[in-house]
Amino acid sequence: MASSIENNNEKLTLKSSDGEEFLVEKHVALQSTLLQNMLDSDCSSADVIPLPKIDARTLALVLGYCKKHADASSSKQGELNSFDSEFLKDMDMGALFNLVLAANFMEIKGLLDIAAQKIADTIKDKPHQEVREIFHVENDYTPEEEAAVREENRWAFEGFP
Amino acid sequence: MEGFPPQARDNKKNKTREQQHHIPDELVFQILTRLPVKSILRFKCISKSWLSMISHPKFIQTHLHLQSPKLLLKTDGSPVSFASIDSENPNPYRKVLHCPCEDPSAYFQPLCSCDGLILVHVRIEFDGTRSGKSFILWNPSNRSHRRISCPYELPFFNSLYGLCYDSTADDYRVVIVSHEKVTSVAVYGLRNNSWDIFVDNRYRLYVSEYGAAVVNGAVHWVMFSMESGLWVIVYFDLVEGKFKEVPPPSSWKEDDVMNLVVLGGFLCVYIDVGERQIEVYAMKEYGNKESWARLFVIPSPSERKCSWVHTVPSSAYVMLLCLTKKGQVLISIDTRGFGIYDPKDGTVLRYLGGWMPIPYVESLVPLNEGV
Repeated sequence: MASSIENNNEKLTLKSSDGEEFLVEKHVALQSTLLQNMLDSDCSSADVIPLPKIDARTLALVLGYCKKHADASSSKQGELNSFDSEFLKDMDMGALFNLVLAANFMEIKGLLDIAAQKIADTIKDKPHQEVREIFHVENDYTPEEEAAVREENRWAFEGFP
Repeated sequence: MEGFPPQARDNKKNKTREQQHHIPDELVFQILTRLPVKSILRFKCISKSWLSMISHPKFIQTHLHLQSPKLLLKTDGSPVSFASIDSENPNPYRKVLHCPCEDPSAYFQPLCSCDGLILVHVRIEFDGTRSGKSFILWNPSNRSHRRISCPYELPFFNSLYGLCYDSTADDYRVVIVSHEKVTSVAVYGLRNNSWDIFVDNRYRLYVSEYGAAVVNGAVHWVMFSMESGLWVIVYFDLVEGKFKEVPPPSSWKEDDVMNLVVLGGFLCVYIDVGERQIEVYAMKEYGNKESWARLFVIPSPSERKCSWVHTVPSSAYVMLLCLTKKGQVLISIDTRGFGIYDPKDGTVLRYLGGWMPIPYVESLVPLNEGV
């Protein structure tokens, strides 16, 4: 472990919604603006910080991302980019949604960006009916209204049901 | 996230499913703004609340700012066609764009772009004469366009063209500077579909195909000041109806050939300092003369590491187009094609043919007739 980390080896404990505790080095936690703000205020690092909206599986992923980004030097942008794409590869939609929610709650902008982009890339070529299911959106159009909206951009539907 | 209506959801029926993955509107917004325009247009069909989110100006602006630059290329052949190239992944895929041209005898000349809108000059050649008055504003991403006709007779080959978003009026403006006896400025506003004309004789034209740079809500050009006898950077102030100067970098010498470009949101000048070596400066804080800083240098052709040196004469004229997300610079070469210059290692990565590349972005900004 690098000496710069040993100089700053305070740790804090995060607790997931399902009760699992994670011991995290402070410099890794600082990737999250939420945790950074908590550390800047009088919140003691000895306390356990509960994250009631994030389950253990998602939190482990989030902390893996934070550790990689905290440890990498800024000169290794290329390496980080390939880590990011590998990190999200083969992740199912449920896991991606959990990750977006966690990144948003913990205010980790880089992770929010890549996870939201990954979801966008996954849905961009899907029929709108399928996207409606994925996002659990109630269709509040009458069939006539939906047809009228569709007609306005008919060219965009070529090849779609 | 403020400014768009909350998403209507059916509370009872979907409650158990909602609890699995309730994606707040703010995050739906984050995801949808990262989609291509074509997908977004389809997803207007998903629900009324998605339609209203997607149509909101805040959505359109956020989507715009996430885009990476594309190049519009004019391809050979009749009728005229246009292709789009993604700057992040330029080879080999070219997407042919749907052209708003109903009349194949019309000759289209794309001039400039702003927020994904492209100003196209239409030279109708029914009787062999050229018109300087017909234009099309065209958004190739959502296939909307608007024909506009300038009421003033403008000398096409002695005019400068610009398109900008004027935030004080929340409107897109076409700005055309021309010189015939006097220097006149014709300004078109999209919202009112109307033209104004101004005369400001203190400056003369410097005609260049890529001369305009849109930054700070105004079109900037290099023009000749009749008062000081110098080439200067000016923009046309739409509120006051006159040209105003922006101070150039202090290293700029009077006889240097100066061109403008916007890189990474900064107003930049690039100067041919001899033997086709180009120095690029950025104004890091708009309006502050002290904030000019040298960004990088493009070495003279004999010193460039590039793949096209044998196919393009060393006198080839290089124009800067835009910056990619990876920090590379798209350049046009003698207006006949483009290359990608990497300031980090001084290489030109590719050279692809195509006439008059114009940088633009994917955009949802609507332009339909009668709007």
